[in-house]
Amino acid sequence: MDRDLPDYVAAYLLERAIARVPEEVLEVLATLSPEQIEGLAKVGRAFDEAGEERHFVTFSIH
Amino acid sequence: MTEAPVAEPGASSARIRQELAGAIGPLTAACTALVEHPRLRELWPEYLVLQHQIIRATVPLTETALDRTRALPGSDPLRAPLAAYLEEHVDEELNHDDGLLDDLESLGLPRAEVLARMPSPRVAALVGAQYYWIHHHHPVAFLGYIALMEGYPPTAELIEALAERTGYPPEAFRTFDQHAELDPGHKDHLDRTLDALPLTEEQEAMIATSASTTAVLAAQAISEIV
Repeated sequence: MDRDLPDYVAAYLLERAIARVPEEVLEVLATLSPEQIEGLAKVGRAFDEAGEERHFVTFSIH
Repeated sequence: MTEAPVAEPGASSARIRQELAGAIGPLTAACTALVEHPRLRELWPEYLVLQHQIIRATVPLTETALDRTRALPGSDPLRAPLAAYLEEHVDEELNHDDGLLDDLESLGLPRAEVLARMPSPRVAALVGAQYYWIHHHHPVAFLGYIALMEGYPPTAELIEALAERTGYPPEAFRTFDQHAELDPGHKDHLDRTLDALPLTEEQEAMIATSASTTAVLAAQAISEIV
């Protein structure tokens, strides 16, 4: 990721384990406020709580 | 003598994890391909063997990094705090490899058979890169390896899905359960350490490179069995 994303956007991508984000989407995410990102995160968490399976998984043990 | 630029204090962990988020794609793809594989039941023991081959090196790698850190010049400001972290990290990781062997035995793979298998060149590259950086550059690079390995612990939901899809008993997932419980705390410990260490910009970049390289090589190792 070459662009400088706000910390709260990077934290959102990490929380949602979203790794492959098209440049066009990153451009939009970078324009969102912390409150707007929190709204997106809330929707994602609601999907999780509803039992919707996430498409991508990342895991590692050490 | 010009002093190296110092990284902004207190924010190293966020910057390193941001870099890592940009490099995690291949590992996400490999993990997803494994979990969704139609022959997951057949592949899961192979994945655990692979993980054992990697995890068996964790404590020796950490001890090597600790030895090299203690050998740093007294003028290196990382010497004392990095050594203190690595001493604690050895304790955090003790016997995890044995736990994986127990899990594999519960799946019918005897320890001797697991230990007799030669790890792939990908595994050697993954672990070997750390030995190289520890011995020939700076042991702080090893923190990038830990950042990746402990940064993405399995969730309870994932373990439940794996048990359901493979049909294997809970005994086969004891190590995964253990890491789901412990690794978030270990990750926080590392992040606090990263934020407290007096890193230069170059050292912070070194850790990020180590983390990203670990992600790529771990993905390649998993891809070999999928």
